[in-house]
This record gives sequence, C-alpha cells and structure tokens, in this order.
Amino acid sequence: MADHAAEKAAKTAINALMPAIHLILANQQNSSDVPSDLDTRIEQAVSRALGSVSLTAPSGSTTTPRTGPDEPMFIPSGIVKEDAESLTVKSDSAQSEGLDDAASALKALRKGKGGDKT
Amino acid sequence: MASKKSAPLGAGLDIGTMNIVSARRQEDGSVETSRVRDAFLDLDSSAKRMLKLSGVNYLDQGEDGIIVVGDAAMEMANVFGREARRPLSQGLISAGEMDALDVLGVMIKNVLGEPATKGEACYFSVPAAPVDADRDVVYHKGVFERIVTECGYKAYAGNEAMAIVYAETAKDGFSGLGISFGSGMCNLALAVTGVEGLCFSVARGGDWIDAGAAKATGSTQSRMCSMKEQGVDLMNPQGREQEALALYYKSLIEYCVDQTAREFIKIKDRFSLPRPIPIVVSGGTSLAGNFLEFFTEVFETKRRKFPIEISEIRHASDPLNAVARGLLIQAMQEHDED
Repeated sequence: MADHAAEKAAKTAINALMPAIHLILANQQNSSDVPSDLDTRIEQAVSRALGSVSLTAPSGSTTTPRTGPDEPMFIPSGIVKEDAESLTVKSDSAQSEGLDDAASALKALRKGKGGDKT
Repeated sequence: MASKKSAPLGAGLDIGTMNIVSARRQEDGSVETSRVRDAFLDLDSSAKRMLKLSGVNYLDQGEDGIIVVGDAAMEMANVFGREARRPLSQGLISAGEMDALDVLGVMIKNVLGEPATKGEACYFSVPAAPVDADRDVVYHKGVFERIVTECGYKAYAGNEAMAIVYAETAKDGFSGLGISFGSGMCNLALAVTGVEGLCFSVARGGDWIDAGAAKATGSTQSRMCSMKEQGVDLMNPQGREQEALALYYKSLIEYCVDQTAREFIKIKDRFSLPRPIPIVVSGGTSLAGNFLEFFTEVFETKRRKFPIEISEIRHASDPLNAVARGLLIQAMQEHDED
C-alpha cells in the first residue's frame, strides 16, 4: 500500500520537475550558467508533488539501519617471514594409540555417507 | 624446523590462548606433538646482551626493541617483573593487534615446520562463536588461514570441540559431547555419527577462574594460575585460595552444563539422539587434580534436568593434545582421498 503511494508520488514529482529539467538543459545548450534558484525550484516542486502523500513505515519494521554488504576485512599478507627466527619448541612423541583406528573409522563413516564431509 | 619428507601427510594445529600445539605422524607410526607457549614480551634493546648470554632467542625489531616469544617470554617476564602479553584474548585474536600477528607468524612456522609436500593439508582449530559475548570468529579464522597458507600448507579450519569428538569418540561412532576447557574460553560440540549438531563456546575459561578466585581472596591472577598449575585437588582444596579456585571451577562447569542444555533445547526438534552419548572433557583447564570426579559430581546435580542422555563422562586420553590430534585425523583424510 505504502509502496504504491510512494511510486505514485515519485511519478508526480518527476512530472513536476520536468519543466525545471528542460529549463536546465536549455540553459546548458545556450550558456553554462545554471539558474541560481534551481535548488529552490526543485525543492518546491518535490514539496508540491509529495504534499498530499503521507508516507509511514510499515508496522513491525525497526529503526535499525540496514547494513550494506559486509565490511571489508583487512588481513595483511607477509605475516610469515621466510627467514623467521628459530624458537625453542617442546616436542613429544607418543604412540598413535587409537589415532589410526579413528582415522579409518572416520574414513569409513564418510564413505558410508557418500563422501559427505562434516 | 626439520622437513618430514617421508612421514605420512597431514598436520593438526591447535591455536589456543595459552599454547599453540601441532600434531604430525612420524615415519615410525608415532605422533609427534610440538608446543610453544602463546605469549610474548617486548623488551628494550639493552636486554639483547643478557638474552644472548642466556641463549634466549628473540625477534629484533630494530629501534622498537626486541620481542621474546614463547616459553622464554614467561620466564623473562618473571625476571623483569613484567606481565607477558598474549596474542589471543578469550580465545580470539583482535583486529588491530598487528604486533601479535608477527609473533604468531613466527610461532606457528616453528611449531608446524616445513610441509612435507607443497600444499600438505593442515587443519587448524577455530573456536565457535561465543554465546555470551559479542564477538565473531571471522577475522580470527581469516588470520590463521593466511598464516598457515603462508607456511606452505593448504589450510582448513576445524572446530575446536569437534576435534575432540574426532579424537576421542571413534568407539562411540563419533557420537558425543566434546568439551574443551581452555584458558580463554570453553568450546562445546555435540555430534552424532560424526554429524555436528551443536557447536558453541562460552567466553569463560581458566583465566576467568584465576581472575575470579584472585578477586575473591585479594590475591593476583598470576598467583592463582601458578597455584593451579602446581596442582590443586578440586575434591579436597586446601586453604582459602584453593577453596576459591574450586568454587570458580564449580561455577564454570555449571555454566557450561546450563548453556549446553539451553542451546540443545533450541535444536532438539531438528536433531535426534538415538542413544545416550558420552561427554569427553579436555583442555589445559581440565588438568586440575580430580577434575573428572569433580565434573561428574557437579553434573550429577544437574543430570535430572539435562535434556541429553549421557552414557558416561570421561577425560580425553591426552587432554593437552586432544584437539591437535583430532585435527590431524581430519587432515589425514584429505590425503587419503587423493
């Protein structure tokens, strides 16, 4: 309902603006000057066109502004240097108890599901 | 950083607030885990001489001084009466922590080593988004994907708690509730036959216990952490400080159980559990004395109202390395499928 009213109002506004637009185009063809009261003319035309239309937000809508596309995420490159310093790392070796069984069972499970990975 | 030319392919990398751990298969079939403390300390250039004499490696930042990384950072922090800095806070890296990125790059390159082949699969751990804090894991995941890729691996993100399910519940058909009690947060995942049904984290962990117990007793967080690491018997705490630690442990366990119930209720109509499942607890914070008995005791007070039927509660076979091992299992699958 509101959308329909808005569309109608916009069409009316465009029609009302047409004389001003024609005037601008005519002036541009004859001279580079733009009428000094152009802003006022446009404002008045839009006001006249929309004066009889009341636009309200549909019920249930919120005032939270819609965000556009996700903000870009900057992750620098070259974090890992070729000549990175050596650190003391604590290493332990342990028997792979259960690891092979788990890997085989997971492989079988995934095959059973048609290769579907979780 | 030795190259592992003939070892089976695949690597698991657990990136935690306290430790970074990698797991790889060796030629002889064993599993090698490598660990570095996830901490660093920036010092003035004048400390270079002392560090050289002590044989401590550091990153030279030119006019900006030097950075000591890993376990040495904790030791040097004590020497200089400073607090070591942590690249991660509550399990996640924050955008804008540019110092931390360089440090993480060095630590991960050292812990992972060179890939055996170009594009060897490496699963790295990512926490689930916390249900009680307004933080997402997108940036965190992106940073570590970049670092692992720059180390020469093909990077795959894997959920931290699901890694515990993969490492510890094969005999249960990969069905279970895995709980990783970490330093910065706790991660929880519920799976049935390897299908992830529920994954979330809470922004409380070992650090939260230390901070709370310290505040309650007028002590310091580092003292509480040290006391915890030296060994606290949760079933028989001695003195006020240990009693405070036990109280906060109890509160954390109750919180995790309650949050699990709350999150499960949201999905129970879409997810069926055909049979009772085990709970597997893991992580550095679960290393306190008698943690399993303590957890079980707390859980039993809530079992009646808990919406999931639990068959047993057990500790991971290797609580500090369970996540890295679970990630390794997943990485091995990538090469099995080649």
